[in-house]
Amino acid sequence: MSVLARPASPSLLRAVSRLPRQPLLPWLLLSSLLLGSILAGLSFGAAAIPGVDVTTALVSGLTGWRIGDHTVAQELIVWQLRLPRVLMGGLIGAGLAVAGAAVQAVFRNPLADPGLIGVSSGSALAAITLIVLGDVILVGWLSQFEAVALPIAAFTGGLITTALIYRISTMNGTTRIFTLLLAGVAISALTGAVTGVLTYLADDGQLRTLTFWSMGSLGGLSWQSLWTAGPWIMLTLIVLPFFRQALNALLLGEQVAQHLGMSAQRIKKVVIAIAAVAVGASVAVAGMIGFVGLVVPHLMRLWLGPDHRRLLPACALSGASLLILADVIARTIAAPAEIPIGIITALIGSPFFLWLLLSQGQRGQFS
Amino acid sequence: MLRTDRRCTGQRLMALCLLLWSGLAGAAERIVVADGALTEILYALGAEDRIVGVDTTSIYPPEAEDLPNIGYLRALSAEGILSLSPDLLLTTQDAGPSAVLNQLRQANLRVEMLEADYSASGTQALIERVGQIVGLEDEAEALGQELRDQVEAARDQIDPDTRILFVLRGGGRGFMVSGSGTRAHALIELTGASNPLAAMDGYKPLANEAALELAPDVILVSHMEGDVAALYEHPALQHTPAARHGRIHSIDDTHWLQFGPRLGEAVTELSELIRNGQGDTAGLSADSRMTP
Amino acid sequence: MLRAQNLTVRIGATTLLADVSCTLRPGELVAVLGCNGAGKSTLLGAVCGDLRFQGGSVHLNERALRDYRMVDLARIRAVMPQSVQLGFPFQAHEVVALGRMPFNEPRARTREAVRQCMALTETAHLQTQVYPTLSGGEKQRVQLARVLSQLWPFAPDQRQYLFLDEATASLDPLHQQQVFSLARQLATRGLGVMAVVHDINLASQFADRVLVLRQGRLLAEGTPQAILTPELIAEAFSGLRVQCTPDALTGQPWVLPLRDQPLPRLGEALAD
Repeated sequence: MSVLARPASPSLLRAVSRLPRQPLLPWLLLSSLLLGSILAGLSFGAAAIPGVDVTTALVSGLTGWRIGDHTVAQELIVWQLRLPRVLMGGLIGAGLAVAGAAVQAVFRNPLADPGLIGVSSGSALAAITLIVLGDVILVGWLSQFEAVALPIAAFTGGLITTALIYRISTMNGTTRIFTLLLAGVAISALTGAVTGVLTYLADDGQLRTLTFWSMGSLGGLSWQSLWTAGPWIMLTLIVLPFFRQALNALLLGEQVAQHLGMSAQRIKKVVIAIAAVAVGASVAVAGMIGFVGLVVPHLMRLWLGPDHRRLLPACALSGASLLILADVIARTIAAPAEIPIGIITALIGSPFFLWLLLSQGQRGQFS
Repeated sequence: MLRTDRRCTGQRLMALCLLLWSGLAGAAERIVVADGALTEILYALGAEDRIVGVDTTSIYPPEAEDLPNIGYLRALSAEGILSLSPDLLLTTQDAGPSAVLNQLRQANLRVEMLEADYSASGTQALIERVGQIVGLEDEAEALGQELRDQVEAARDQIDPDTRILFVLRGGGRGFMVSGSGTRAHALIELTGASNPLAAMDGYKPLANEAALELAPDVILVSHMEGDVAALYEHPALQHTPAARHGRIHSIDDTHWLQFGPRLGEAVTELSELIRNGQGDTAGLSADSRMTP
Repeated sequence: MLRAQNLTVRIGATTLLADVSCTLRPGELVAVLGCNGAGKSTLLGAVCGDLRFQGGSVHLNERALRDYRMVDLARIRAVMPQSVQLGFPFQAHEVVALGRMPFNEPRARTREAVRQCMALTETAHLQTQVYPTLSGGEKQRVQLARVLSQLWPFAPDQRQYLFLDEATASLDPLHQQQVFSLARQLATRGLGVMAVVHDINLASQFADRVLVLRQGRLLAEGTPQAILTPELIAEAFSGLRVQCTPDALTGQPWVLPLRDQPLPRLGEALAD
């Protein structure tokens, strides 16, 4: 008879009650991981400082009281070097991972990278221009501000490039994702070529500076970078979760998202802009850090599923932890020297990613 | 690494603080050096026991490599340097990134960024400046004078029309050659010979045809680049006067292009190499040769 | 009521839909028939608000379509597209739950909607399966459950509309019957349903009215008995020859293609 009238069978009800209802375990694990990473980031470094001194130094730095028997230098290392570095590193990791997850949703491709929207290549071009032609551009009193000018140039360069790619792929008020992808590839090739010209013009010293810049490092992060770049990344971390359901809808395609009452165009515009802000701010203060934006969302998706209501916070927590831990490795493994963190993330990330591809390929998930 | 010398580091940090309070003007006692030439100068002045850390470019004298290494001078790390509790970071204007240098200054570390220019007088000035900083002015003056004398003595002993080309092999895809503004160019000028690429700036890739046109009498190759035999078979280089006369030489560029206290030696040795076609000096590695 | 008047859709110089008018009342199931490229999906896209039309107007419940906020529209009309590409590993029940997105409601209510809609489409046993691993037909039924959940609980007085664009394309005969039987029951309950379909018999069996399109124009409109004649079908489907037999019980015509059709012969084609 009528299916509508048929009462639900008891077995069906039982099956429904087995649906996952926000299990707490992942959040406990991820929060502990982040907390542990922060503690590790504060405790380990080139200078060996006992845990009790780290603690008293933190309290002293926070309150201004002189407690404990740590030295001025220890307080300086913990409060001025390690803490801002850990906080900013965590923000950058969270920002890159969340931006990566969002960009993957917009492109509807779990292998998309935030670099596809051109922000990294644009930032790199602007920064390298400043490194190579800085003497020409920053004349007179401006030349004192090179340390400030570089992040500003990288940030604006990244955003301008993303805006350009977005404009190119938007026709009659509709942004075509496929065009966006191609425009991103083309613009990246173009900035790569201009970067090549600048590299050709660069002298030996500039060449080495830009090599190290492009490898990425959390080395120069200070309270100042936290106050200047941090808010941009915070903005992304706060705004993107408002789009969690919109991103879910977008995974079914733009038309379906519209049928579900979402403006696909608005989602694309805002998400791309917001992701570009986070990536641009990260590149500006820490250079190019690869693989976080690609591997972290992918990993979290495998674990917790693609629902952005869970995915975005999980990416923020794990991305922050990953970058803080990678940075601990970067600054202790060759102490007192440091290894660029981009090398560490790529060194851990790439083999892991390949393993992921292969093991999933065998299960036929990427058919 | 992280835990063993914790107490010891603590004491060192304590010492650092005392030094910070006692003022910064005094001669430095715990020096981190980030530049190969500066490290050499400190050793030559006999101040090596004050060095507590060096960078990756400090490879001479060999015992410098046993000191704690703070990494590459353009990618310094604030905590790494501070963990050595230094009272001075001695480096050149090449050091970076500037954010890290700012952090070090904020940590009340004295940072001396010396300007090095690639000339005999510039190197002499550099030595004297280092002497002032470490309070060894007399030694520095003597060392500088000696260097100056050596360079003067070696100068103008060769035909100024001798054309010398310094070449870096670009990974099998042609060559990078040194124009003006490079250390190689400066060294060639110091011997009194001429660099056919003086009109060009920095290191640039060299086209095969241009290599023929430059007609170098002597070609110098960095010893990092391996055997010079292949250069004698190179389609363009094999027809240059240098190849025809067996004048392609492999040189120890980390010594000759250092522009430190051994600059005098370097100029003397290069001058000798050019005049005699064969050097038996320390700067010349085993695979340099007379004949193809 | 959905009222479309004189719709014209052009893309560049090509006219996809020319001056088509139609209506869809709550409580009726309208099938849209036509050969490939006749403009069926274009018509559906235009009345759903997916496509901009160059001429004409669409009113839904006496209000112009463009005056609706997207979310308000989503609450009264659901659309089942021809195909949905989803490569992300959602579980089937999560896909269905996306249909409840336009509603701000407690989780329990969403769960209830998902449960009932999956039961309606016989996909309850698939709910924890990963969507990309489902078969084509299973995916289509899960998508149907999602589309239905958007209109759940199908309250008779809501004046809601359901659009199906070849919803039965990759289903087996049983599930084809089931989908249309479901659509029929939903219409009886008060929904307006418009279904683009290729199977003339499904249309004739279940629809209250049939729209026949040809080359972007409305060729005929009426009850299956009135218009599904061999002459009309030949005109609509490029000369397709059929035999129409009225059902003994309902009088709906059963349409059976004849063996001899005006089609290219292999021998003749190769001889050219």
